[in-house]
This record gives sequence, structure tokens and C-alpha cells, in this order.
Amino acid sequence: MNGSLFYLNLVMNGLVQGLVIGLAALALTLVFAVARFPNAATGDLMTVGAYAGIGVQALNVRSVIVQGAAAILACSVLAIGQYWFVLRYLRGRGLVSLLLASIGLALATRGALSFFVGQDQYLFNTPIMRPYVIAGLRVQVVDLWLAVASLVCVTATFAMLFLTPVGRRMRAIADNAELARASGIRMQRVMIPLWAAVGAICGVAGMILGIKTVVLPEAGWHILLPAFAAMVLGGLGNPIGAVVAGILLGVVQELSTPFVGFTYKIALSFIVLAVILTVRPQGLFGSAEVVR
Amino acid sequence: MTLLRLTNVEAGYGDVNIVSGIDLDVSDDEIVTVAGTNGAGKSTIVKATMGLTPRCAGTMTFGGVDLRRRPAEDRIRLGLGYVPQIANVFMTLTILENLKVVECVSDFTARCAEMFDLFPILATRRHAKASALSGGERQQLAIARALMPRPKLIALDEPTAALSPALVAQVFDIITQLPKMGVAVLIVEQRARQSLAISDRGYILDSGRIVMNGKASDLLADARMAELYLGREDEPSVDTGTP
Amino acid sequence: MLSYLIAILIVTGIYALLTQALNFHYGFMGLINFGHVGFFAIGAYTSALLTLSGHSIALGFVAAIVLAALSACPLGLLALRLREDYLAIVTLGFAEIVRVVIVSEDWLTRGTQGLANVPRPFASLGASGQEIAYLGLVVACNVLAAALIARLAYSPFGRLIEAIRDDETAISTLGKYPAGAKLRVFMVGAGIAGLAGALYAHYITYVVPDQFVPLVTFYVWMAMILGGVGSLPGSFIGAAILVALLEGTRFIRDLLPGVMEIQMASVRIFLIGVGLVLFVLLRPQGVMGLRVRT
Repeated sequence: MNGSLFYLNLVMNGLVQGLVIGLAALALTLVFAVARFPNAATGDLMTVGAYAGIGVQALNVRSVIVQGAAAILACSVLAIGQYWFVLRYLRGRGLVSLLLASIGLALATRGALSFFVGQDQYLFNTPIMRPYVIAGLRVQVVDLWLAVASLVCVTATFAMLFLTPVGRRMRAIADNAELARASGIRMQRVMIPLWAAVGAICGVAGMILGIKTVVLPEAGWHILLPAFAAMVLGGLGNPIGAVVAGILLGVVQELSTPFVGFTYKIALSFIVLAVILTVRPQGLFGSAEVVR
Repeated sequence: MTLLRLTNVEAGYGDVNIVSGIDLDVSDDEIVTVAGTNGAGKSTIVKATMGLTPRCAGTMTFGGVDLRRRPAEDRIRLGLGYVPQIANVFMTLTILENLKVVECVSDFTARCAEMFDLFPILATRRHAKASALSGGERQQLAIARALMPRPKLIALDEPTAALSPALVAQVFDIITQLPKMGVAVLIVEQRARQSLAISDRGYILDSGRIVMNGKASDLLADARMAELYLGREDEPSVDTGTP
Repeated sequence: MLSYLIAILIVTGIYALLTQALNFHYGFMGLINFGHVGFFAIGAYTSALLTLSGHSIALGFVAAIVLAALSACPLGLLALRLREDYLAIVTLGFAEIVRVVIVSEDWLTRGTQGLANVPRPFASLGASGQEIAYLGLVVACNVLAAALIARLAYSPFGRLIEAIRDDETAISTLGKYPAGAKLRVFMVGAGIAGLAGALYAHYITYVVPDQFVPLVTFYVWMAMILGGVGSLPGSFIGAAILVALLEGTRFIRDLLPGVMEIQMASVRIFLIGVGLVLFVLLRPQGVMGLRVRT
């Protein structure tokens, strides 16, 4: 295989990895823009989604759509639950309280999950299909479907944000919380749809992560750090920036693997973050076009 | 009839009271100005009325309803509108979205058309982001946004702070029209002379307390008060905002 | 029983040192440090590596402090220019990078196998004498750290810190450069955490990457909240309660018959998570502490 093709294939892999990071960063960004804290429970929410899919598969349901629907449902219910029973009471208590609470929720979720499912790894039995080969570039059919699924997920999120009344309210709160209150927008009515959307995105991201790799109790947690990096790079509160930065990070991670080895992948997103923040403290896309 | 009534109100942030012992009322179809130097606590009075200060004590009623039992997001439902001093529009939303996002607007289309009649400039730019508007246009949008749910009273926090003299006149012109539409007005202003000139009554605030109140014309005629709080006649009063 | 008690006290002392350092960062300066375990790991590995290659334990301790403090410097320079929300994320990432480096660079750190036979000081005093002497060392380090922090916090520098916390923009316009003061606080705290790492390495006598997971950072945050943010005596109380809770979860094993050992790890993580949530919900003054009082 010649050199440039090798890297092109790495880019392809990186794109799919990046979609997972991008979706996770999108979920983080929605929460950050509207509820104003970095939600450390995002990664473990994704893990729950992956296990929900595995659970459906264990019932002999082969359809990935049904598995994905179960993931979305499980994550949404859990995310709304986390909001309703914990985070709701911390409104106005500042970033640190909310961040600590979300770390607690992350640990509790992971502990409860691993208690029941154990530490064994699970795999999705996706059908093996012959990859498309375009000018030597191998494109896995599964990857294409995963890309379509992410695209649908991102499009649906943006449609909600920009085309629906509830999305308009979310953007208003993100823009100016005090003015939103004075305009009569009730936090509660926005928060339930917000956490449902966050759950749905995490469900899709968890499924993609599970299909591309293996399902383990720590799987989602390992995505959290790159997703944080993507959120910051994307301009902290800018959903479009978060998705783009996530995809970029995925590609950079994958491209760097031949040089720095597999273990440095996680570290890499932070090195990229450090370098870019040194040059642009507001992040890559942190300019006028910000939804906050 | 008295619409808004504050009795012995104190308000502030953290442990600190910015204002205390405030007695203030606004009746139907009336324009009332709260004047005072920078830092006297003018904005705090308006914010407390809107339920946006962390600390607030005393009695506040609006149309006979106890305001203190209503959270900020419910006060709009009683007919209380608010135009903050800065950040008074949703910058990242379009003009149309700024109007649409306001709650309890009955018959949006008709109300929106009325607002566009009142502020023609907004109609021509309805799909522009609010951040693209000039200072004066933004102020118009902020007032339009507050008027959307047909409030009985709107509170304006330094509506002319960052405007050029020509625009100041324009904004005051809009404000004088409001009582005819059945909207009482509470203005907090540093340009006290101009504001009192269009007001029925006024209050003078100094270091968090009301030191004088009465008919606007009497306040304007009071030599002592004019010297202390309104600046000399030839000066357009103190202005912190940049034109 | 006495040796168990001494062991518990030593671990508590090490956590107290970490909590003091975090309190200096967050409680006194408002620096949201979620990478505490990174400095702890740097201290532990530095001292372990130096002593294993034949240098004295004293040199190991000094190097641990210096290296941990120095590692905070570039991180601080980067993060202190940014908004406070960034610092939480950047420090969290920093600690993970430290761990990944330790795992990957096995020519130096022996990777996941870790370093064994880290020497313990006071070997000449016999088994129980050694333990007691080590406890003395831990206590001495805590007293020194507390004295240093108190000195810094109540000096003119400390008043500057307080002023920065209350009104950052006002101070910058006065011409004193708050980022410089912040950086110093960040480095001093990191150095103390490095010292805690060295104490830990020479007490446990081995280091592996698994000892330096983000969970340790969260433990220290819990201890700080329990004791009260911004309170130095609270650091000791918080660390004591934390160790009691962590030790307590060992006994849950007896309450849950039929639960396998591997599941106990899950139960522990679950309980820690629930505990963290409950502390935040029920002890708001613990989280806010001093920052509200001022």
C-alpha cells in the first residue's frame, strides 16, 4: 500500500472516531450553553447507551435501528432523571457545584452499570460487508451508515435549536439567562427537552462508539476528555464549532497514531488544545457566531 | 389607580443592600422617572421589581398581587415588562426570533405587525441578527420585545445610556407615546432633566435612599435639587455611556 | 491494631496534605484544579525513580516538590490566561496526560508494571519504630505545609490573593498583575501535592499508574468539601472523614453476602459517586465556603 493511501485510510477511520467525539462534544456544549457547566456525566451516559444496545442485541433483536432506539430511550430517561433528581436543585450554585455533582453522577452511573454487567467486554454483531474500494481507498459500509446516523443526529439537533420554539427558548437562555427570565421563559420547560436531547445524542454516540470498538464500562469515560477538548476548541458554547472540532480531533488522533503510538491518543487532544489555546484563547470558532 | 407599589423595599447582592427604605408607586397611564447619580442604586430598584436581585425584602404589589411570591419568569404574566440597560436583546437571535421568544403573547402575528408599524426599521431587517443592529435600533427592538405581551407597565433601565443625542430624542419620543397605548412607564435615568420633562412624577435617589419625590415639574423647578442631581441647565447632564 | 491505626493516620496525613494544597488553589485563590492527581503522580514517580537509582530519600523529596511545582508552571501560564471554566478542563486533561506518559514511557517508569521496592526511610528503627517515625514525618510535612500556606495567605501576598478573588479586574487596573500571583499559588500548591506523592511512594513502597487515576482528584475534592472550602483546619477534618468513609466501604463487603470481589469495586465507585452528589446537594456551604463569606 502506498503512503498517501495509508494516511487517507487513517483519515477515514479518524472521521468516524471524530463523529463520536463530535457528538459527545455537542451534548456537552448544549448543557454548557444552557445550564452553564461542563457535564462530566456525558461519557458514562454514552456507555449506558452502548449497553442498552447490547441488551437489545442479547434479546436476539438484530436491527441496529431498534438497538439504537433503545439506546436513545435509555439515555434520555437517565439524563432527565439526573436533571430532575439532582441537577435541578443546583441551579445558580455555580460551576464547581454542578461539575462535582456531574462527576458524582458519572461515578454512580458507572458503578451501578458495572455492578450488573461486569467487566467483560461486549461486541455488536454488525454484519460483515465487503468494503467499497474507491481508487484504493477502503470505505467500510458500516462507517458510511454510522456517518449517516451521526449526520441525522446533528441535523435533528440543529433543527430543534433553530426551527422549534423550544430550541429558540434554549438559545435565548444561552444568550442571556436574565433577559430570558424577564421574558417569561420558564427554565423547567426548557430543561426537560434539553436533557432529553442530550440523552438522545449520547445514545447515538454510545451506539457508534460500541459498534466501532468494544463495549466496556469505561468506554464512554475515555471519550469525555477528547470531547471536553473539542468543546473548548469549538469555542465553548458553540454547537457547530464543537462538532467540527470533534471531527478534527478524531482525524488528528488517528493520523498521529503511527508517530506517537496508541496510548498517546488521549493525551494528543489535550496537546492540540494547549497549542491552539496558546494562539487563540477564545478557541477555534469562538467569535461572533456563538450560540450564547 | 396605583399599579405598582413598593413599600419599604430593600434589595442588593450578597450581604450588601444597595437600596433600602424604598417607597415608590406608579399608577396607570403614568410616566415616572427615578433619577440619581451613578451608583445610587437606580438599576437595583428596577431589578428588584423584576425579581432579579438575589436579596430583596419589603412589600411589592402589582395590580394588587403580591410580587414577592412570583418568580421573575412569572412577572411578565402579570403585565410587567422590562428593558434592561445593557444586554437588552438576544444578540444571537434574529429580530423576529427576539419577538417570538417572548412568552404569553396572544395573537403573535397581529402584535408583531403592530410593533413593526411602531418601529418600521425593525420590519425591514426582521431576519437580521440583533447583533447586527445599531445602538438605537437595538433599543427599539428591546422596547418592542418588552411590549409584545401587552404589558400594563414597562420598566426601562437607562434607555438612552449609550445613544447619541439625536437618538435620545427619538427614544424619549417613543416613551411618551406609551401611556396612550395603556402602558405605564417607570424610567431609571441619568439624563434626569430630559426624562423628567416627559414624566408625570419623579423620585430622586441618593446612596440607596429616596431623598425627594413629587411632580416632575416641581422637581425640575426646585433649585436645590437641580443643582445637586440634575446638572446645570446647559449641560445635558452626566453621561457615562459613549455616544 | 495499633499498626492499623498508624497506617490509617499516615494515609490520612497524606490526604490532608493533598487537601491543604487543593484548598490553597481553590479555597484561597479560586483556581478550579481538577488535575491534582497529576502533581501527586509526578511527586511519587520522581522520588521513587531517584531513590531507586541510588540517590538519597531527602533528594527524592526535594526533587518531587520542585518537579511537581515546575510542571504546574507551563500549565498555569496557559490556563491562567483563560476563563475559569477552561482551567477545570485543562487540568483534568493534564492529569490524564501525566498518567498516559507514565504508562507509555516504560523505559523509565516500567509502564503498567510500575516500580517496586521503593525504599522506606527509618529502616534502622525496627518495624514499629519505622511506622511511628514515618507518621512523625507525615505530621511534620503537614505542619510545614500549613505554616507555609498560612504565612502566604496572611501576608501582603495573601491580602493580594484575597483582593484578586474579590475583584480581579479592579486589581489588574491597579497594576498588580494577578496572573503572576495566581501562578505562584498554583505552583506552591502543586509542590505540596508533589510532596504528598513522595510521602505516598515511600510509604506504600511501590508505584503503579493505577494509583493515579482521576478518582484520586475527586477524593481530594470530597475531602475539601467535607472540611469546608477555604478552611485549613477543615482540610484535616475532611481528610479524616474521607479516609474513614473509604475504609468504611471495606466493611460493606460483610454486609453484602454473595457479592463477588470484582463487584465490590463497582459498589465502591457507586457509593463514592452517590456520596459526592449528596455532599454537593446537602453541604452547599462546604462547596462555597469562604467565597461566599467575602
